[in-house]
Amino acid sequence: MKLTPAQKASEVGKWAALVTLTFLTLYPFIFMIMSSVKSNAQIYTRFWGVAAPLHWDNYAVAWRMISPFVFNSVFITLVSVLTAVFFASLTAYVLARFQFPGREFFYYYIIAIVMIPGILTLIPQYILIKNMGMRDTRWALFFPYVSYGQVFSVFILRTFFAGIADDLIDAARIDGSGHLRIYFTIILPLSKPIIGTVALMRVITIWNDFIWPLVVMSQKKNFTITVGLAYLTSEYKVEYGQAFAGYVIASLPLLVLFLLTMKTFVRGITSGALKA
Amino acid sequence: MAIQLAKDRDPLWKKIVKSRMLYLFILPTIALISIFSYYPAVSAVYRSFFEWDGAFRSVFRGFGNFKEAFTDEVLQVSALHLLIVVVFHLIRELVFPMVGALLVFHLRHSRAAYSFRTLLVIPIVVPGIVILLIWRFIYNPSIGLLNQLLTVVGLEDLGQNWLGDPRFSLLSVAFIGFPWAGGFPFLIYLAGLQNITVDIFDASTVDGATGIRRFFYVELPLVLGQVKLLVMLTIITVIQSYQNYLILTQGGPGLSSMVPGLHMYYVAFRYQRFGYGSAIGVILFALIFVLTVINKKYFQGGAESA
Repeated sequence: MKLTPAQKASEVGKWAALVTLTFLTLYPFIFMIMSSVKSNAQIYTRFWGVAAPLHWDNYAVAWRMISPFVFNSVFITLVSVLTAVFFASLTAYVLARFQFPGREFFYYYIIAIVMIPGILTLIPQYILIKNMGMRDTRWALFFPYVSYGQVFSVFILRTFFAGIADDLIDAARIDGSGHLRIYFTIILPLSKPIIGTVALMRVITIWNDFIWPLVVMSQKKNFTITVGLAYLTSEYKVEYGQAFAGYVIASLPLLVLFLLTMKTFVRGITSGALKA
Repeated sequence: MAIQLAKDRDPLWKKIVKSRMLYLFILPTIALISIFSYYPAVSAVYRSFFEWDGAFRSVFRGFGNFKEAFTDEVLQVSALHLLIVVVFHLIRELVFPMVGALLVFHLRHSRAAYSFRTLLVIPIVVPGIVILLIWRFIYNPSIGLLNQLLTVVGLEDLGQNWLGDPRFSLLSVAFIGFPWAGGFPFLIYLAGLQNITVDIFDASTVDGATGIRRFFYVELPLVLGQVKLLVMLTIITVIQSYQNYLILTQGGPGLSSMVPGLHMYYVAFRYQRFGYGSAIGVILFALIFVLTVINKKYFQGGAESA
Protein backbone atom coordinates (compact mmCIF):
# COMPACT_ATOMS: atom_id res chain seq x y z
CA MET A 1 0.00 0.00 0.00
CA LYS A 2 1.38 3.37 -1.05
CA LEU A 3 1.07 6.16 1.47
CA THR A 4 0.17 9.66 0.41
CA PRO A 5 2.59 12.39 1.51
CA ALA A 6 0.11 13.51 4.17
CA GLN A 7 -0.17 9.98 5.55
CA LYS A 8 3.59 9.69 5.52
CA ALA A 9 3.95 12.90 7.48
CA SER A 10 1.41 11.71 10.00
CA GLU A 11 3.30 8.41 10.40
CA VAL A 12 6.53 10.28 11.01
CA GLY A 13 4.78 12.47 13.55
CA LYS A 14 3.41 9.45 15.41
CA TRP A 15 6.82 7.82 15.47
CA ALA A 16 8.46 10.96 16.80
CA ALA A 17 5.83 11.37 19.50
CA LEU A 18 6.04 7.72 20.55
CA VAL A 19 9.82 7.69 20.64
CA THR A 20 9.78 10.79 22.82
CA LEU A 21 7.13 9.44 25.18
CA THR A 22 8.83 6.07 25.47
CA PHE A 23 12.21 7.64 26.05
CA LEU A 24 10.89 9.91 28.80
CA THR A 25 8.99 7.00 30.37
CA LEU A 26 12.04 4.78 30.45
CA TYR A 27 14.73 7.37 31.06
CA PRO A 28 14.63 7.07 34.87
CA PHE A 29 15.33 3.36 34.49
CA ILE A 30 18.09 3.95 31.95
CA PHE A 31 19.58 6.49 34.32
CA MET A 32 19.30 3.98 37.16
CA ILE A 33 21.21 1.36 35.19
CA MET A 34 23.91 3.80 34.08
CA SER A 35 24.36 5.16 37.57
CA SER A 36 24.48 1.69 39.07
CA VAL A 37 28.00 1.18 37.74
CA LYS A 38 29.37 4.53 38.92
CA SER A 39 31.08 5.66 42.09
CA ASN A 40 29.86 8.77 43.88
CA ALA A 41 32.77 10.74 42.42
CA GLN A 42 31.80 9.62 38.93
CA ILE A 43 28.18 10.61 39.53
CA TYR A 44 29.30 14.09 40.51
CA THR A 45 31.75 14.59 37.64
CA ARG A 46 30.19 12.60 34.78
CA PHE A 47 26.52 12.98 35.61
CA TRP A 48 24.94 12.20 32.24
CA GLY A 49 27.27 9.59 30.84
CA VAL A 50 28.92 6.40 31.94
CA ALA A 51 32.56 6.76 32.95
CA ALA A 52 35.33 4.17 33.02
CA PRO A 53 36.14 2.30 35.16
CA LEU A 54 32.77 0.61 35.50
CA HIS A 55 32.03 -0.23 39.09
CA TRP A 56 30.45 -3.65 38.75
CA ASP A 57 31.49 -4.19 42.35
CA ASN A 58 28.48 -1.98 43.24
CA TYR A 59 26.34 -5.00 42.43
CA ALA A 60 28.34 -7.26 44.72
CA VAL A 61 28.03 -4.79 47.58
CA ALA A 62 24.32 -4.21 46.92
CA TRP A 63 23.65 -7.92 46.71
CA ARG A 64 25.36 -8.49 50.05
CA MET A 65 23.09 -5.88 51.61
CA ILE A 66 19.75 -6.84 50.07
CA SER A 67 19.98 -10.57 49.41
CA PRO A 68 18.22 -11.49 52.70
CA PHE A 69 15.33 -9.18 51.72
CA VAL A 70 15.21 -10.66 48.23
CA PHE A 71 15.07 -14.12 49.71
CA ASN A 72 12.24 -13.12 52.08
CA SER A 73 10.25 -11.64 49.21
CA VAL A 74 10.78 -14.59 46.89
CA PHE A 75 9.77 -17.01 49.61
CA ILE A 76 6.63 -15.22 50.79
CA THR A 77 5.55 -14.43 47.23
CA LEU A 78 5.89 -18.03 46.02
CA VAL A 79 4.28 -19.65 49.02
CA SER A 80 1.36 -17.28 49.36
CA VAL A 81 0.58 -17.10 45.65
CA LEU A 82 0.60 -20.88 45.28
CA THR A 83 -1.61 -21.31 48.33
CA ALA A 84 -3.95 -18.50 47.32
CA VAL A 85 -4.42 -19.82 43.81
CA PHE A 86 -4.95 -23.37 45.03
CA PHE A 87 -7.69 -22.37 47.49
CA ALA A 88 -9.26 -19.93 45.06
CA SER A 89 -9.39 -22.43 42.22
CA LEU A 90 -10.95 -25.08 44.44
CA THR A 91 -13.62 -22.63 45.54
CA ALA A 92 -14.16 -21.40 41.99
CA TYR A 93 -14.54 -25.01 40.83
CA VAL A 94 -17.21 -25.75 43.42
CA LEU A 95 -19.09 -22.52 42.74
CA ALA A 96 -18.91 -22.96 38.99
CA ARG A 97 -19.81 -26.62 38.59
CA PHE A 98 -22.00 -27.65 41.52
CA GLN A 99 -25.48 -26.89 42.76
CA PHE A 100 -25.84 -26.92 46.54
CA PRO A 101 -27.64 -25.00 49.28
CA GLY A 102 -25.99 -21.64 49.89
CA ARG A 103 -24.13 -21.49 46.61
CA GLU A 104 -25.37 -17.99 45.74
CA PHE A 105 -24.80 -16.79 49.27
CA PHE A 106 -21.19 -17.91 49.37
CA TYR A 107 -20.51 -16.42 45.96
CA TYR A 108 -21.76 -13.00 46.99
CA TYR A 109 -20.10 -13.34 50.37
CA ILE A 110 -16.78 -13.59 48.54
CA ILE A 111 -17.46 -10.99 45.86
CA ALA A 112 -18.74 -8.39 48.32
CA ILE A 113 -15.19 -8.04 49.64
CA VAL A 114 -14.41 -5.70 46.75
CA MET A 115 -16.42 -3.10 48.65
CA ILE A 116 -14.03 -3.25 51.60
CA PRO A 117 -11.03 -1.03 50.92
CA GLY A 118 -7.64 -1.76 52.43
CA ILE A 119 -7.56 1.58 54.16
CA LEU A 120 -10.49 0.53 56.35
CA THR A 121 -9.00 -2.77 57.46
CA LEU A 122 -5.34 -1.82 57.91
CA ILE A 123 -5.52 -0.91 61.59
CA PRO A 124 -7.73 -3.76 62.91
CA GLN A 125 -5.82 -6.21 60.77
CA TYR A 126 -2.59 -5.09 62.36
CA ILE A 127 -4.07 -5.50 65.84
CA LEU A 128 -5.43 -8.91 64.86
CA ILE A 129 -2.00 -10.06 63.71
CA LYS A 130 -0.45 -8.63 66.85
CA ASN A 131 -2.96 -10.39 69.10
CA MET A 132 -2.41 -13.66 67.28
CA GLY A 133 1.27 -13.31 68.09
CA MET A 134 2.23 -13.28 64.43
CA ARG A 135 4.04 -9.97 64.29
CA ASP A 136 7.56 -10.36 62.92
CA THR A 137 6.76 -13.81 61.58
CA ARG A 138 6.12 -14.87 58.01
CA TRP A 139 2.54 -15.77 58.95
CA ALA A 140 1.79 -12.06 59.30
CA LEU A 141 2.29 -11.74 55.56
CA PHE A 142 1.14 -15.18 54.50
CA PHE A 143 -2.44 -15.16 55.81
CA PRO A 144 -3.47 -11.70 54.60
CA TYR A 145 -1.81 -12.24 51.22
CA VAL A 146 -3.60 -15.55 50.71
CA SER A 147 -6.85 -14.02 51.88
CA TYR A 148 -6.63 -10.89 49.72
CA GLY A 149 -5.97 -12.98 46.64
CA GLN A 150 -9.29 -14.80 46.90
CA VAL A 151 -11.81 -12.30 45.55
CA PHE A 152 -10.23 -11.49 42.23
CA SER A 153 -8.99 -15.06 41.66
CA VAL A 154 -12.31 -16.73 42.50
CA PHE A 155 -14.15 -14.28 40.28
CA ILE A 156 -11.97 -14.78 37.22
CA LEU A 157 -11.56 -18.53 37.65
CA ARG A 158 -15.23 -19.23 38.30
CA THR A 159 -16.18 -17.58 35.00
CA PHE A 160 -13.60 -19.64 33.19
CA PHE A 161 -14.47 -22.95 34.87
CA ALA A 162 -18.14 -22.45 34.12
CA GLY A 163 -17.25 -22.30 30.45
CA ILE A 164 -15.48 -25.65 30.30
CA ALA A 165 -17.45 -28.10 28.15
CA ASP A 166 -19.70 -30.51 30.06
CA ASP A 167 -18.75 -33.49 27.85
CA LEU A 168 -15.25 -33.59 29.20
CA ILE A 169 -16.42 -33.74 32.76
CA ASP A 170 -19.26 -36.15 32.04
CA ALA A 171 -16.83 -38.50 30.32
CA ALA A 172 -14.59 -38.45 33.35
CA ARG A 173 -17.52 -39.11 35.65
CA ILE A 174 -18.58 -42.10 33.60
CA ASP A 175 -15.03 -43.37 34.00
CA GLY A 176 -15.70 -43.17 37.72
CA SER A 177 -13.45 -40.24 38.57
CA GLY A 178 -14.23 -38.48 41.84
CA HIS A 179 -14.79 -34.76 42.00
CA LEU A 180 -11.40 -33.95 43.41
CA ARG A 181 -9.82 -36.09 40.75
CA ILE A 182 -11.76 -34.31 38.02
CA TYR A 183 -10.50 -31.04 39.40
CA PHE A 184 -6.88 -32.17 39.28
CA THR A 185 -6.92 -34.12 36.01
CA ILE A 186 -9.31 -32.06 33.89
CA ILE A 187 -10.07 -28.64 35.28
CA LEU A 188 -6.56 -27.62 36.33
CA PRO A 189 -4.73 -28.74 33.17
CA LEU A 190 -7.31 -27.01 30.97
CA SER A 191 -7.03 -23.79 32.94
CA LYS A 192 -3.28 -23.36 33.08
CA PRO A 193 -3.21 -20.07 31.13
CA ILE A 194 -5.93 -18.38 33.17
CA ILE A 195 -4.45 -19.67 36.43
CA GLY A 196 -1.10 -18.33 35.29
CA THR A 197 -2.70 -14.95 34.67
CA VAL A 198 -4.28 -14.85 38.09
CA ALA A 199 -1.06 -15.97 39.78
CA LEU A 200 0.96 -13.37 37.93
CA MET A 201 -1.29 -10.56 39.11
CA ARG A 202 -0.84 -11.72 42.68
CA VAL A 203 2.93 -11.95 42.27
CA ILE A 204 3.12 -8.32 41.18
CA THR A 205 0.92 -7.12 44.02
CA ILE A 206 2.77 -9.02 46.70
CA TRP A 207 6.27 -8.31 45.45
CA ASN A 208 5.49 -4.59 45.35
CA ASP A 209 3.59 -4.35 48.62
CA PHE A 210 5.13 -1.91 51.05
CA ILE A 211 2.83 -0.65 53.80
CA TRP A 212 1.74 -4.00 55.18
CA PRO A 213 5.22 -5.54 55.63
CA LEU A 214 6.37 -2.19 56.99
CA VAL A 215 3.67 -2.31 59.64
CA VAL A 216 4.00 -5.93 60.74
CA MET A 217 7.75 -6.41 60.49
CA SER A 218 10.03 -4.56 62.88
CA GLN A 219 13.14 -6.70 62.77
CA LYS A 220 15.48 -6.13 59.87
CA LYS A 221 15.90 -9.84 59.18
CA ASN A 222 12.20 -10.09 58.30
CA PHE A 223 12.04 -7.17 55.87
CA THR A 224 10.79 -7.79 52.36
CA ILE A 225 12.64 -6.24 49.45
CA THR A 226 10.50 -3.10 49.34
CA VAL A 227 10.85 -2.33 53.03
CA GLY A 228 14.51 -3.31 52.91
CA LEU A 229 15.30 -0.88 50.10
CA ALA A 230 13.54 1.99 51.82
CA TYR A 231 15.31 1.15 55.06
CA LEU A 232 18.78 0.91 53.54
CA THR A 233 18.54 4.18 51.69
CA SER A 234 17.28 6.02 54.73
CA GLU A 235 19.54 4.55 57.40
CA TYR A 236 22.90 4.52 55.72
CA LYS A 237 24.71 7.09 53.71
CA VAL A 238 25.15 4.61 50.90
CA GLU A 239 27.04 5.18 47.72
CA TYR A 240 24.42 6.22 45.17
CA GLY A 241 25.81 3.68 42.70
CA GLN A 242 25.32 0.86 45.17
CA ALA A 243 21.79 2.01 45.91
CA PHE A 244 20.98 2.06 42.19
CA ALA A 245 22.49 -1.41 41.80
CA GLY A 246 20.15 -2.53 44.58
CA TYR A 247 17.17 -1.03 42.74
CA VAL A 248 18.15 -2.90 39.59
CA ILE A 249 18.39 -6.19 41.49
CA ALA A 250 15.01 -5.60 43.12
CA SER A 251 13.42 -4.92 39.73
CA LEU A 252 14.92 -7.88 37.91
CA PRO A 253 12.70 -10.77 39.06
CA LEU A 254 9.46 -9.16 37.87
CA LEU A 255 11.06 -7.76 34.75
CA VAL A 256 12.28 -11.22 33.73
CA LEU A 257 8.90 -12.71 34.57
CA PHE A 258 7.26 -10.02 32.47
CA LEU A 259 9.47 -10.65 29.46
CA LEU A 260 8.81 -14.39 29.68
CA THR A 261 5.05 -14.12 30.02
CA MET A 262 4.22 -10.98 28.08
CA LYS A 263 0.91 -12.14 26.60
CA THR A 264 -0.48 -13.62 29.80
CA PHE A 265 0.63 -10.52 31.56
CA VAL A 266 -1.11 -7.99 29.36
CA ARG A 267 -4.28 -10.06 29.28
CA GLY A 268 -4.23 -10.34 33.05
CA ILE A 269 -3.99 -6.63 33.60
CA THR A 270 -6.75 -5.77 31.19
CA SER A 271 -9.10 -8.58 32.22
CA GLY A 272 -8.51 -7.75 35.86
CA ALA A 273 -9.53 -4.19 35.31
CA LEU A 274 -12.52 -4.89 33.15
CA LYS A 275 -14.00 -7.72 35.13
CA ALA A 276 -13.15 -7.27 38.77
CA MET B 1 -24.71 -28.04 33.78
CA ALA B 2 -24.12 -27.70 37.44
CA ILE B 3 -23.76 -31.00 39.22
CA GLN B 4 -25.97 -31.68 42.19
CA LEU B 5 -24.81 -34.17 44.79
CA ALA B 6 -28.23 -34.31 46.43
CA LYS B 7 -31.55 -35.16 44.80
CA ASP B 8 -34.06 -32.42 44.08
CA ARG B 9 -36.66 -33.92 46.36
CA ASP B 10 -34.28 -34.26 49.31
CA PRO B 11 -35.12 -32.03 52.26
CA LEU B 12 -32.75 -29.16 52.87
CA TRP B 13 -30.83 -30.81 55.69
CA LYS B 14 -30.22 -33.85 53.56
CA LYS B 15 -29.02 -31.70 50.68
CA ILE B 16 -26.59 -30.01 53.01
CA VAL B 17 -25.32 -33.29 54.41
CA LYS B 18 -24.87 -34.75 50.97
CA SER B 19 -23.00 -31.66 49.80
CA ARG B 20 -20.62 -31.67 52.76
CA MET B 21 -17.59 -32.31 50.56
CA LEU B 22 -18.31 -29.07 48.72
CA TYR B 23 -18.44 -27.03 51.90
CA LEU B 24 -15.12 -28.53 52.87
CA PHE B 25 -13.60 -27.42 49.57
CA ILE B 26 -14.69 -23.81 49.93
CA LEU B 27 -13.93 -23.69 53.64
CA PRO B 28 -10.36 -22.30 53.36
CA THR B 29 -11.49 -19.36 51.22
CA ILE B 30 -14.51 -18.60 53.39
CA ALA B 31 -12.55 -18.88 56.62
CA LEU B 32 -9.69 -16.71 55.40
CA ILE B 33 -11.82 -13.86 54.13
CA SER B 34 -14.00 -14.00 57.23
CA ILE B 35 -11.02 -13.67 59.54
CA PHE B 36 -8.80 -11.35 57.53
CA SER B 37 -11.31 -9.15 55.69
CA TYR B 38 -14.76 -9.20 57.27
CA TYR B 39 -13.66 -9.28 60.86
CA PRO B 40 -11.24 -6.34 60.49
CA ALA B 41 -13.90 -4.36 58.59
CA VAL B 42 -16.47 -4.85 61.34
CA SER B 43 -13.84 -4.26 64.00
CA ALA B 44 -12.84 -0.97 62.34
CA VAL B 45 -16.38 0.35 62.51
CA TYR B 46 -16.79 -0.85 66.11
CA ARG B 47 -13.46 0.55 67.31
CA SER B 48 -14.12 3.88 65.66
CA PHE B 49 -16.41 4.62 68.62
CA PHE B 50 -13.64 4.04 71.15
CA GLU B 51 -10.51 5.65 72.41
CA TRP B 52 -8.27 2.64 72.00
CA ASP B 53 -4.55 2.10 72.47
CA GLY B 54 -4.59 -1.12 70.48
CA ALA B 55 -4.38 -3.28 73.59
CA PHE B 56 -6.29 -3.16 76.85
CA ARG B 57 -7.33 0.45 77.28
CA SER B 58 -10.52 0.95 75.33
CA VAL B 59 -12.97 3.67 76.36
CA PHE B 60 -16.29 4.28 74.64
CA ARG B 61 -16.46 7.77 73.11
CA GLY B 62 -19.71 7.65 71.18
CA PHE B 63 -19.30 9.87 68.15
CA GLY B 64 -16.37 11.59 69.81
CA ASN B 65 -13.84 10.38 67.26
CA PHE B 66 -15.99 11.57 64.37
CA LYS B 67 -16.57 14.94 65.99
CA GLU B 68 -12.85 15.23 66.51
CA ALA B 69 -12.22 14.30 62.87
CA PHE B 70 -14.41 17.12 61.61
CA THR B 71 -12.54 19.70 63.68
CA ASP B 72 -9.11 18.12 63.18
CA GLU B 73 -7.04 20.79 61.45
CA VAL B 74 -4.57 18.28 60.09
CA LEU B 75 -7.41 16.35 58.52
CA GLN B 76 -8.85 19.52 56.99
CA VAL B 77 -5.54 20.44 55.40
CA SER B 78 -5.15 16.83 54.24
CA ALA B 79 -8.61 16.83 52.70
CA LEU B 80 -7.76 19.91 50.67
CA HIS B 81 -4.54 18.27 49.52
CA LEU B 82 -6.46 15.15 48.61
CA LEU B 83 -8.79 17.17 46.43
CA ILE B 84 -5.87 18.80 44.63
CA VAL B 85 -4.12 15.47 44.14
CA VAL B 86 -7.29 13.77 42.89
CA VAL B 87 -7.78 16.45 40.25
CA PHE B 88 -4.13 16.26 39.26
CA HIS B 89 -4.26 12.48 38.99
CA LEU B 90 -7.48 12.51 37.01
CA ILE B 91 -5.82 14.69 34.40
CA ARG B 92 -2.67 12.62 34.31
CA GLU B 93 -4.44 9.24 34.20
CA LEU B 94 -7.05 10.26 31.66
CA VAL B 95 -5.18 12.40 29.16
CA PHE B 96 -1.62 11.15 28.87
CA PRO B 97 -2.21 7.39 28.63
CA MET B 98 -4.94 8.12 26.08
CA VAL B 99 -2.39 9.91 23.92
CA GLY B 100 -0.02 6.97 24.28
CA ALA B 101 -2.72 4.44 23.44
CA LEU B 102 -3.97 6.39 20.40
CA LEU B 103 -0.45 6.71 19.02
CA VAL B 104 0.28 3.02 19.43
CA PHE B 105 -3.13 2.03 18.10
CA HIS B 106 -2.86 4.09 14.93
CA LEU B 107 0.69 3.18 14.12
CA ARG B 108 0.65 1.38 10.76
CA HIS B 109 3.73 -0.68 11.50
CA SER B 110 2.19 -3.36 13.71
CA ARG B 111 5.44 -4.84 14.98
CA ALA B 112 6.66 -1.43 16.01
CA ALA B 113 3.33 -0.85 17.74
CA TYR B 114 3.84 -4.08 19.66
CA SER B 115 7.33 -3.03 20.72
CA PHE B 116 6.16 0.38 21.89
CA ARG B 117 3.36 -1.26 23.83
CA THR B 118 5.82 -3.58 25.55
CA LEU B 119 8.14 -0.73 26.48
CA LEU B 120 5.32 1.43 27.78
CA VAL B 121 4.12 -1.38 30.04
CA ILE B 122 7.48 -1.70 31.81
CA PRO B 123 6.64 0.88 34.53
CA ILE B 124 4.01 -1.54 35.85
CA VAL B 125 6.55 -4.23 36.60
CA VAL B 126 9.21 -2.06 38.17
CA PRO B 127 8.46 -2.08 41.90
CA GLY B 128 6.72 1.12 42.97
CA ILE B 129 9.29 1.61 45.69
CA VAL B 130 12.13 1.58 43.13
CA ILE B 131 10.35 4.23 41.07
CA LEU B 132 9.91 6.33 44.20
CA LEU B 133 13.52 6.03 45.21
CA ILE B 134 14.72 6.91 41.72
CA TRP B 135 12.47 9.99 41.80
CA ARG B 136 13.82 10.91 45.19
CA PHE B 137 17.18 11.10 43.47
CA ILE B 138 15.69 13.03 40.56
CA TYR B 139 14.40 15.61 43.04
CA ASN B 140 17.61 15.70 45.09
CA PRO B 141 18.45 19.41 45.49
CA SER B 142 22.21 19.10 45.09
CA ILE B 143 22.86 16.42 42.47
CA GLY B 144 19.34 15.46 41.44
CA LEU B 145 18.56 14.90 37.81
CA LEU B 146 15.94 17.63 37.59
CA ASN B 147 18.14 20.42 38.90
CA GLN B 148 21.06 19.13 36.81
CA LEU B 149 18.86 19.24 33.74
CA LEU B 150 17.82 22.80 34.52
CA THR B 151 21.49 23.72 34.83
CA VAL B 152 22.32 22.13 31.49
CA VAL B 153 19.66 24.19 29.72
CA GLY B 154 20.74 27.32 31.54
CA LEU B 155 17.77 27.61 33.87
CA GLU B 156 19.60 26.76 37.08
CA ASP B 157 17.75 29.63 38.77
CA LEU B 158 14.60 27.52 38.56
CA GLY B 159 16.24 24.71 40.51
CA GLN B 160 14.44 23.92 43.74
CA ASN B 161 14.53 21.74 46.77
CA TRP B 162 11.54 19.97 45.25
CA LEU B 163 10.60 17.71 48.13
CA GLY B 164 11.90 19.92 50.90
CA ASP B 165 10.08 23.11 49.99
CA PRO B 166 6.51 23.39 51.27
CA ARG B 167 5.51 25.19 48.06
CA PHE B 168 6.43 22.20 45.90
CA SER B 169 6.37 19.07 48.05
CA LEU B 170 2.76 18.00 47.40
CA LEU B 171 2.82 18.38 43.64
CA SER B 172 6.35 17.05 43.33
CA VAL B 173 5.16 13.76 44.76
CA ALA B 174 2.05 13.79 42.57
CA PHE B 175 4.22 14.51 39.53
CA ILE B 176 6.22 11.27 39.90
CA GLY B 177 6.12 9.03 36.85
CA PHE B 178 6.08 11.77 34.22
CA PRO B 179 5.13 11.57 31.30
CA TRP B 180 2.46 9.09 32.54
CA ALA B 181 1.79 7.79 29.05
CA GLY B 182 2.35 4.12 29.82
CA GLY B 183 1.36 1.69 32.47
CA PHE B 184 -2.02 0.41 33.51
CA PRO B 185 -4.41 3.08 32.10
CA PHE B 186 -2.54 2.90 28.80
CA LEU B 187 -3.29 -0.82 28.52
CA ILE B 188 -6.93 -0.26 29.42
CA TYR B 189 -7.35 2.37 26.73
CA LEU B 190 -5.50 0.29 24.17
CA ALA B 191 -7.74 -2.71 24.90
CA GLY B 192 -10.75 -0.42 24.48
CA LEU B 193 -9.56 0.93 21.15
CA GLN B 194 -8.78 -2.57 19.90
CA ASN B 195 -12.35 -3.58 20.66
CA ILE B 196 -13.71 -1.06 18.18
CA THR B 197 -14.56 -2.92 15.01
CA VAL B 198 -12.85 -2.20 11.73
CA ASP B 199 -16.23 -1.42 10.11
CA ILE B 200 -16.71 1.57 12.35
CA PHE B 201 -13.34 2.96 11.40
CA ASP B 202 -13.97 2.31 7.72
CA ALA B 203 -17.36 3.99 7.90
CA SER B 204 -15.93 6.99 9.72
CA THR B 205 -13.12 7.31 7.16
CA VAL B 206 -15.68 7.34 4.36
CA ASP B 207 -17.50 10.07 6.25
CA GLY B 208 -14.26 12.00 6.35
CA ALA B 209 -13.62 11.72 10.05
CA THR B 210 -9.88 11.64 10.68
CA GLY B 211 -7.52 12.89 13.32
CA ILE B 212 -9.09 15.06 15.97
CA ARG B 213 -12.62 14.67 14.59
CA ARG B 214 -12.32 10.91 14.55
CA PHE B 215 -11.16 11.01 18.14
CA PHE B 216 -14.06 13.07 19.45
CA TYR B 217 -16.83 11.57 17.33
CA VAL B 218 -15.76 7.95 17.05
CA GLU B 219 -13.07 6.84 19.45
CA LEU B 220 -13.85 8.75 22.61
CA PRO B 221 -17.54 7.75 22.70
CA LEU B 222 -16.56 4.12 22.17
CA VAL B 223 -13.98 4.03 24.95
CA LEU B 224 -16.16 6.02 27.32
CA GLY B 225 -16.61 2.86 29.38
CA GLN B 226 -12.87 2.70 29.93
CA VAL B 227 -12.74 6.40 30.75
CA LYS B 228 -15.43 6.02 33.41
CA LEU B 229 -13.71 2.97 34.84
CA LEU B 230 -10.43 4.84 35.12
CA VAL B 231 -12.07 7.88 36.71
CA MET B 232 -13.48 5.62 39.40
CA LEU B 233 -10.33 3.56 39.90
CA THR B 234 -8.18 6.68 40.03
CA ILE B 235 -10.30 8.36 42.68
CA ILE B 236 -10.52 5.24 44.82
CA THR B 237 -6.81 4.56 44.51
CA VAL B 238 -5.76 8.12 45.26
CA ILE B 239 -7.96 8.30 48.36
CA GLN B 240 -6.20 5.23 49.67
CA SER B 241 -2.60 5.87 48.67
CA TYR B 242 -0.17 7.58 50.98
CA GLN B 243 2.87 5.37 50.52
CA ASN B 244 4.60 7.90 48.26
CA TYR B 245 4.17 10.67 50.80
CA LEU B 246 5.26 8.44 53.66
CA ILE B 247 8.49 7.55 51.90
CA LEU B 248 9.38 10.83 50.22
CA THR B 249 8.21 13.65 52.47
CA GLN B 250 6.62 12.11 55.56
CA GLY B 251 3.82 14.58 54.87
CA GLY B 252 6.07 17.58 55.24
CA PRO B 253 7.72 19.94 55.40
CA GLY B 254 5.22 20.97 58.04
CA LEU B 255 1.91 19.66 56.75
CA SER B 256 2.57 20.72 53.19
CA SER B 257 2.19 17.23 51.73
CA MET B 258 -0.03 15.58 54.34
CA VAL B 259 -2.89 13.48 52.97
CA PRO B 260 -5.74 11.80 54.90
CA GLY B 261 -4.40 8.27 54.55
CA LEU B 262 -1.03 9.28 55.89
CA HIS B 263 -2.64 11.14 58.77
CA MET B 264 -4.54 7.96 59.63
CA TYR B 265 -1.31 5.99 59.50
CA TYR B 266 0.43 8.39 61.87
CA VAL B 267 -2.51 8.63 64.27
CA ALA B 268 -2.49 4.85 64.60
CA PHE B 269 1.10 3.78 64.36
CA ARG B 270 2.89 6.82 65.71
CA TYR B 271 0.48 8.07 68.37
CA GLN B 272 -1.09 4.68 69.15
CA ARG B 273 -4.62 6.10 68.83
CA PHE B 274 -6.11 3.12 67.08
CA GLY B 275 -9.72 4.15 67.75
CA TYR B 276 -9.33 7.57 66.18
CA GLY B 277 -7.32 6.05 63.35
CA SER B 278 -10.15 3.58 62.72
CA ALA B 279 -12.61 6.48 62.62
CA ILE B 280 -10.57 8.20 59.90
CA GLY B 281 -10.49 4.86 58.07
CA VAL B 282 -14.28 4.60 58.34
CA ILE B 283 -14.71 8.14 56.97
CA LEU B 284 -12.48 7.35 53.99
CA PHE B 285 -14.36 4.11 53.47
CA ALA B 286 -17.68 5.96 53.53
CA LEU B 287 -16.34 8.39 50.95
CA ILE B 288 -15.24 5.55 48.67
CA PHE B 289 -18.52 3.72 49.21
CA VAL B 290 -20.65 6.74 48.32
CA LEU B 291 -18.60 7.40 45.20
CA THR B 292 -18.92 3.78 44.14
CA VAL B 293 -22.67 3.81 44.61
CA ILE B 294 -23.08 7.09 42.74
CA ASN B 295 -20.96 5.67 39.96
CA LYS B 296 -23.00 2.46 39.78
CA LYS B 297 -26.26 4.31 39.84
CA TYR B 298 -25.68 7.24 37.54
CA PHE B 299 -22.66 6.59 35.38
CA GLN B 300 -22.95 2.94 34.56
CA GLY B 301 -23.73 1.70 31.11
CA GLY B 302 -21.08 1.30 28.49
CA ALA B 303 -18.78 -0.17 31.10
CA GLU B 304 -20.99 -3.19 31.68
CA SER B 305 -18.06 -5.37 32.48
CA ALA B 306 -16.60 -2.96 34.97
